[in-house]
Amino acid sequence: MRGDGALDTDSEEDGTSERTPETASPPRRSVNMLQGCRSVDEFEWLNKIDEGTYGVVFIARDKKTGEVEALKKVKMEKEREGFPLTSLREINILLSFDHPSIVDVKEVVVGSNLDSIYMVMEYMEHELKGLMEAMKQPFSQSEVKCLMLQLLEGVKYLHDNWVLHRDLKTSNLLLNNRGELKICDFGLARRYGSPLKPYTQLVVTLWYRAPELLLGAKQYSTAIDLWSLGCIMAELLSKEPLFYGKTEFEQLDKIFRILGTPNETIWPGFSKLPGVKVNFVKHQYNLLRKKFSPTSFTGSPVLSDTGFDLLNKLLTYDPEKRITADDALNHEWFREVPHPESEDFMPTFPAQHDKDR
Amino acid sequence: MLVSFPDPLPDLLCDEDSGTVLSEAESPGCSSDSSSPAALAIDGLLLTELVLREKDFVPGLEYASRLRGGTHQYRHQHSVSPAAREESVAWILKVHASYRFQPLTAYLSVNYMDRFLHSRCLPESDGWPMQLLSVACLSLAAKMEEPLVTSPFDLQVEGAKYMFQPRTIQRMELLVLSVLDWRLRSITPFSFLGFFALKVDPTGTFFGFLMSRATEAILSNIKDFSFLEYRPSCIATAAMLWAASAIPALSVREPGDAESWCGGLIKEEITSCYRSMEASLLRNGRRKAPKVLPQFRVTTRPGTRYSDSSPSPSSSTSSSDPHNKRRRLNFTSWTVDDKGISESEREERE
Repeated sequence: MRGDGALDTDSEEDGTSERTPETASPPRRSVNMLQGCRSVDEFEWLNKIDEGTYGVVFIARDKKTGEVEALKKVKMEKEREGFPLTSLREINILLSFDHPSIVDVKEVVVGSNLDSIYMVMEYMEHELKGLMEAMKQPFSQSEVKCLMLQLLEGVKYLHDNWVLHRDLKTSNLLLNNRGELKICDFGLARRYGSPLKPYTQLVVTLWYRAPELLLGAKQYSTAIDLWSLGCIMAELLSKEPLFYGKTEFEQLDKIFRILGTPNETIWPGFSKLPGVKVNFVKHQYNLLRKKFSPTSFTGSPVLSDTGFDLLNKLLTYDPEKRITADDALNHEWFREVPHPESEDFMPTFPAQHDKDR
Repeated sequence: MLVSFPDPLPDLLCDEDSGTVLSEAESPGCSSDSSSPAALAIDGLLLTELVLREKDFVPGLEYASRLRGGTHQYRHQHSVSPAAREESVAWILKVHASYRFQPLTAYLSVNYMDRFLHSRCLPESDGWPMQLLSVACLSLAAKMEEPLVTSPFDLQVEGAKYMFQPRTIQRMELLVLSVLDWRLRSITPFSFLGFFALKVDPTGTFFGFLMSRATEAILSNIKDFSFLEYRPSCIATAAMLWAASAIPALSVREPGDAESWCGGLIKEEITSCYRSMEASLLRNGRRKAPKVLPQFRVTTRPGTRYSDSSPSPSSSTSSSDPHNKRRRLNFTSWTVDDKGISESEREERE
């Protein structure tokens, strides 16, 4: 039934409301049921910028303040499910967080039809994935250091607050023209220690997924996000995704080909993981160093030995031994020459969204 | 006492481990905690911050006094009646148990409901709006906490008096979200439990036992609105003291001594909260057979009979409801009529 009456005040919209004897009252005018929320009409639409897995993002100007913001529309398609879970968790996590490397949700606004809900977020010009596709040259080592520092700060903040992101990838990292990097898309984020829910049914790229997840580990922890950061670091340096599998099996195969097939010695507990039933080809050697050269001239991306040490520590098979965000922030690579670029001197790029989409 | 405390303690611990619901890593927590002893090693700052922010997630004292004084005047004020609240909480707990949700889910549902009622009045405080509010709050809490989420529509079981269309529930969810300013990551007593378990038992030997027993103490008291007067950290302290009282080596003689567990705790409040909790738990324990919480219901299947004399959880809680009749009405209401209130429901409401 419809719970009509005082709770449901926009009855004009569908015209089917029924009044019950107890709640019969003079017909109400349509008032904003969600009194706490501003209406999206207080924004002036500028552009549609992205259509991601979890919704559409628009750029709009706040008529009151004149500020340009990004409005992410909450997909409300499955009525039976009620307010969508991913958005619910994302909004709640982002509203409770305050960190320069985490995208800021300022408020939630509603459309005139109450079925549309938007998260108002700070507008960022670029998404790292699209930006790298458009760049001719990869980022330099100092630029990568600047980006990785911000990324690690953000991930440390998440982990300190008992949240795992679980879906870190270049398309979830935003960059503005002030050189600031911010993590977004918390639809899969979960409180650390929460019961696990397999998320294979979701369309999530596998490229950044940690081996323990690919192998079906029942327990996972903050280390899964650090693996993703390893993949992202390599990609920032080379402008190419490091491991790009289409299936879980292929993804593991790509990883094993480059890092060698793990075994019980380097990763205690490996052989007991559910996914290890499959017989993988035994690749003996770690070929990661071949992808990056300690000096220029070779044509492959440059990464010093210290930098390579960090990359290796991020891409360590055993989650127990994988480096933490805190330790990574203190890694020697960030103090070595060339120093991290300061955010103010990061290159700026024309906004991808200016091109009409 | 709620659970009969077995002499060989390991048995109980073993039961929990034996695979089902409340495994250590998954025990109730909140937005900003974790519950394994190792993970709780860092506390200080986090604890202080939790205490500082906890008052933002409770309905406020005025709400509790409204409930207390409201019994006879609520109709005029469109306030909330204690009876209606109690009925809603009981229903939430039943659904919670039948879906075997985590303890935190039940607590959050009631927390959302109280915070909502604190700032908004429902058109009639003990009819269908309360039911709609309960469904919406339970649904939101489940979405925040449960790994496998049930559609809100399917939560309308266990003698729900009215059935609402998915669309109606969705709107109510939105209303609740906006009234709560979208802030669902409440700080609850569960946010503190893990820390406090290590205060009474620094070695972590009895961690699992302390957590379950304290959890049970908290859940069995959410129906009682008088606990709304205490802050989450205080409720957690009292519950942990109660849990520890079952282990002679750990029990604390003066509840007030727990004041030192973290900043912001007040001796008198702890003592008074502990006394009420103890009284109510002992009272309940005497009155009815041990109540079985979802995480311990592993062996209970619908249709299986308890071998002892204690009533099964479902029969003990639904005594007042013409359960089957309601169920049938609900069924017709959503199959026959998908727009408005069905005839049968209307009759029922008159």
